[in-house]
Amino acid sequence: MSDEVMEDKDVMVVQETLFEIVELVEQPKGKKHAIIALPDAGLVGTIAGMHLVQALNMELVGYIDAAIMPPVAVIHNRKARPPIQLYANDDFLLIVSEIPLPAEAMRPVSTAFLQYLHEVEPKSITALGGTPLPPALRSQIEVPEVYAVATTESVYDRIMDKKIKFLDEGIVAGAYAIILLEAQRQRIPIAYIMAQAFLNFPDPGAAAETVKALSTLTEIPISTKALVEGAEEVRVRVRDLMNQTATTMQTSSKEQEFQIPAFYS
Amino acid sequence: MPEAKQPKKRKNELERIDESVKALQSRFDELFGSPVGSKSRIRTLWDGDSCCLEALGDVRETETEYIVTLDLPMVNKKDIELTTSDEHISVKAKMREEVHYERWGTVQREIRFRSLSKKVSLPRDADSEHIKAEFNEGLLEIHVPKKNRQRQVLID
Repeated sequence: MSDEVMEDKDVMVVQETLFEIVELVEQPKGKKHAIIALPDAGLVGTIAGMHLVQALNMELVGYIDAAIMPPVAVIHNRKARPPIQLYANDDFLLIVSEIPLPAEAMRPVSTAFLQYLHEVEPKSITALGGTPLPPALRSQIEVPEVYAVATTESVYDRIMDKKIKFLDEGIVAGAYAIILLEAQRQRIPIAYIMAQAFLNFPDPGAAAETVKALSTLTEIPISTKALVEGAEEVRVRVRDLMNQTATTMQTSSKEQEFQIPAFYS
Repeated sequence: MPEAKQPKKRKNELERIDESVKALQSRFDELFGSPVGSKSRIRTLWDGDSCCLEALGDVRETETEYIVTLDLPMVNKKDIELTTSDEHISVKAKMREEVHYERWGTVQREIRFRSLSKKVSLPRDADSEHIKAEFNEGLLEIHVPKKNRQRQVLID
C-alpha cells in the first residue's frame, strides 16, 4: 500500500468524525419542507428562523455537532446543546445556527446539512438569507425585494411558477455560496431566497419578506404579523449575534455581494 | 528516497493542522474574546450598571464626508442626545420600553436595559462644527463633513 493511499484513508477516517447529526425525534422521510436559516447579512435567516419556530410552534427535534465549529454549547432549559439545531412541526424541518459559522467551518458544515437533507428526503428545501445593500439605500426601501437562486431545473420552474424574481447576475458569498454550489453539483433541489437587507444591522423587515416567499413556495400559510409588530424589539435582542456575524462576514467576503460582477452577461 | 520524504510530508501535514488550529483559535478569540492570561479582548455590547446597550454602527466614507449610521430601535427622535467634540461623536438614546432578561447567565439575571449609546472616534480631517443628523425608522444617520474637501480647479 503506497503512502498516498494510506494518507487518503487517514483523511477519510477524519472525515467520518467531522460531524454528528442527532435526531431527538425521528423525522419521517418525504413528509416535510426543509428550511436552512443561518446568520448572514442582516441576520435575515436567523430572524426568519426564530419567527418560524414561534409562529409555527416548532419543537427542538435534534442537532448537528460539527468538530470544526467553535467549542460552544448553548444552554436552553438547563440543557447543553450544540449551536446548530433542528426544529420541526408537521410541515417543516428547520436547520438553524445560533452562532455564526466561521469561514473554516462553512464547507464541512454545509456538506453535513446536505448529507442530512439527502437522507431525510424533504418535499422541498429553501434557504433563507439576505443580500446586502448600503444602509443609505436600504433605509429608503420600505418593502425589500426578494430574489431567488435555484440549484435544479425543477426548483427553477417552481420559482418561475410562483413569480418570484431571480437574481440574474451577482455574487453570493459565505455558507450559502457553498450550499448552492454543492447542491448544484449533487443535483439537490434548493431554492435560495434572499431579501434586500442591511449588511451589519438586524433586518426583521427583510426576514418577513423571505418568510412570505417561503409561504408562497410551499403553499402553506405563515403569518408574519408578530415579526413585523415586534421588529424593533427583535433588533435590540439580536445585536450581539449581529455584531459577531459582522466580524465573520468580513472573513467570508460577504461584502463581495456589493461588487459588480466582472463577467456580466 | 521515500523514507526521507515521509517525515517532511508528515511535518507539512502537522504544520497545516497547526495553522488550521491557530486560525480557528484566532476566529474564536475574535468572536468571544481571548483566553484569561493573555491580553483580554472581551468586550460586551451591554453595561448592566448603567442599564445601557451599545448601539450597532456603520461608518462609510465619501470624497466629501463620513457617514455614521447607528441602529437605534425602540427610540423616539426626541429622546436622542447627540453631542460632538473635535475627537468624538457621542449618542445616548432612551428606549420607549425597557428590554428585560429574566433567565440569562449569572450576574445578568433580572437585568433590564433602558437606553442605547455609542461613542464614535472622529478622524483628524472631520469637521465637527458642521455635523448634520437625521433620524428615520430607528436609524440615525450622521453626516460629518471633511475639513479639506477637494475642490475642482478649472484648467485654462
